[in-house]
Amino acid sequence: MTYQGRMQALYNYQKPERVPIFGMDEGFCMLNCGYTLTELQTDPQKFWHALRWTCEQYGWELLWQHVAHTVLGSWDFGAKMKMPDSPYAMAVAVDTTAVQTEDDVWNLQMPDPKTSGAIPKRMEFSRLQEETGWPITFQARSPFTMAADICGLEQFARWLMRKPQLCDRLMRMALEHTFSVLQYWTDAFGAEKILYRMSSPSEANQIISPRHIREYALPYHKEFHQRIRAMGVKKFYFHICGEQNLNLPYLAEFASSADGWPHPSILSFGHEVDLNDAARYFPDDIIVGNIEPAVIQAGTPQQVYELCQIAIEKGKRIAGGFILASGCGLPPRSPPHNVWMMTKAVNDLGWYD
Amino acid sequence: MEQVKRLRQDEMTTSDRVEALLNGKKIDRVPLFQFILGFCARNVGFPLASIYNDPEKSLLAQLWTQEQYGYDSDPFYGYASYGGWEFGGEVKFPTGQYEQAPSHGHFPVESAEDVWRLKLPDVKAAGMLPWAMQFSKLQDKFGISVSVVIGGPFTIAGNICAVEVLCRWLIKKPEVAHQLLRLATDHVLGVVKHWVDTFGVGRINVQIWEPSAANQIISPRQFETFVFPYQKELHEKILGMGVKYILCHICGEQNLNLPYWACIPMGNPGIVSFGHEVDLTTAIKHFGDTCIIAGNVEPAVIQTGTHEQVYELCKQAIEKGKHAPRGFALMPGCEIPVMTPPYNLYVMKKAIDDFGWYDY
Repeated sequence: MTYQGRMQALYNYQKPERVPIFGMDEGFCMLNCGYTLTELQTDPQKFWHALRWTCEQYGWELLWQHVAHTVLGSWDFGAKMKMPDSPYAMAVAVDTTAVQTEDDVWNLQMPDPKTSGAIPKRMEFSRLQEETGWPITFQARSPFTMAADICGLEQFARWLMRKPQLCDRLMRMALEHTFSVLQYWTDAFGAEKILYRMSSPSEANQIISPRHIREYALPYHKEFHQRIRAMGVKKFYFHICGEQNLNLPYLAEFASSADGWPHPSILSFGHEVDLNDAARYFPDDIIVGNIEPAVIQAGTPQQVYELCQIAIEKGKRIAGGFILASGCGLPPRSPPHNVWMMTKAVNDLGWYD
Repeated sequence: MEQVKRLRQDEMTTSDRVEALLNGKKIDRVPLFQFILGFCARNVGFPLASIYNDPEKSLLAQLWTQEQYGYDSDPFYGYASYGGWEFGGEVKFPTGQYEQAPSHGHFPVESAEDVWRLKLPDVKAAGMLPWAMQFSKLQDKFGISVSVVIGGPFTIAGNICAVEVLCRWLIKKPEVAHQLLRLATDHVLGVVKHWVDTFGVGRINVQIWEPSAANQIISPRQFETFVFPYQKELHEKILGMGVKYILCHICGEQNLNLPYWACIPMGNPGIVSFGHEVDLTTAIKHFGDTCIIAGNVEPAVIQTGTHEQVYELCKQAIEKGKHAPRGFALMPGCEIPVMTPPYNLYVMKKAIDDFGWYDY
């Protein structure tokens, strides 16, 4: 089957001929093709090439990839950024946040939705996707995560306890900014071509409690879905990053409500969430996951293969459909052979009879 | 929508393809031989030095990388500065980010007097030879061909003393150079015999690398005097032991030496591989009737060029070599550099997929 055939089968709740593979591999593919991690941020064309070539080499799906997403909120709102040009850096990072004090929150201005931060580079990338006929990916953090990126996670967590009105203002601005930029994309390409990818690492229970999720994050998820539905964006991918087991009941309740996301959406999980649990909570969605990235980088090929085997055995039984992937972004300097183990495992074990 | 390309399924296994090539039978596509060591360590996350000082890791790294990239040549053990450590000097294993392979610590020979005092080392105990034997026993255990990989006499002589010293002696003290070459030749023969005695002559393949005889270092006249006699004797004696063929890597710029090389027996057929400096059409002219030709994509381009450049060089090599009378294998012109972008390595297979199929 082709990439489109496999994805179409998943969207129709049918089994493709084999388990598809998604690399989550922005940085890895740059190094794989001899480019630098900084060029991932500065040269969308190189990223687009590296992505296609690496997917070809490894037999992966060219799916939901985007450039420069990790700290988009900070960058757009005026943070000083640090490019990943040291041997130990893996992604662009925040050097100085745009917001450091309470006054900064109240004085914060909405960024220009066309020119701030990395938006022009993201638009260049989307135009390359359009030129080759591929779906247009739009990637943003959840409002909660983007708000935390704007002021720094520790500060955000402190304000959540002591001055929640500051968090609320930041989340409101994050949501409005997201929709301003999305409007720019739908004007340029049409809503029907947009694949929206959201990630929410700062909502992990390693950072906040499920009570805080329900109280502060979920209302914004609800508003977010009301608004993208109204805009006509129908394809949704949600990376529920990290340890979110205690959040799953709330997210599942929301997903099955009238306000929830469309089905099937694509939901990817960190290795902390068991794929069987993911499938049980979200039976109408396509489940993606969830090989532990640290094992891919620092483990042996046999360990990676074994994790893939476990994931594939569980994933093939998921009624809503399954894609094998890393549990989060693939570490850029992972040994290529460990990464290839995902492909090998699918070749050996991932075919549907 | 633009499609992601998939490679065509091979019709033969790697071992069947290589066996057919050696026996002059039809094969499905041009084989891909890799000259690849340190890259494999990086590819699987092992320390670079483990390719040279840890036989088990070395073999695993090479086997796994071979499976991943789908090339046809089996793992082997060897290093280009072979000779210095084995004759009593020191070798330094690669640890820094810019090091690619073992390099010389100090040489066992610094003066002409040292040469006359030099003894043949014990082929069971000297330098890396115990690791090489351990590696070969693992090859045997894994059911792959047992290789003995070693430099030619001139290269080994240029590793026992510094190559610039050897070059000076070629001109000023030729008798000293001849003594070193004599020892180097006898040493290589001793090593090959040790492998033959251990595994049986039918189990081993012999690879000889000869980089230091390149015309970037010596003239063809010097080649005739100092390389040709020893190399010819070496090959004749190895083949005389019953070894079926020699894979001879004629490394670097050796265009002016080719008429001499063509008079050295390689087996029937032998395998000769070339640096990018030798045009494959020229190689076929000199060796095509007796040897399988392998080569010769420029390693520097594989490391620092674009994948389009690598693809184009592979395409040109395949087009020139594909119909060589005794057969052809696509190969880099020398070792794959450690920091090669993995996609550039993959492109070699992709070029074979696009241009290397035989339509009989």
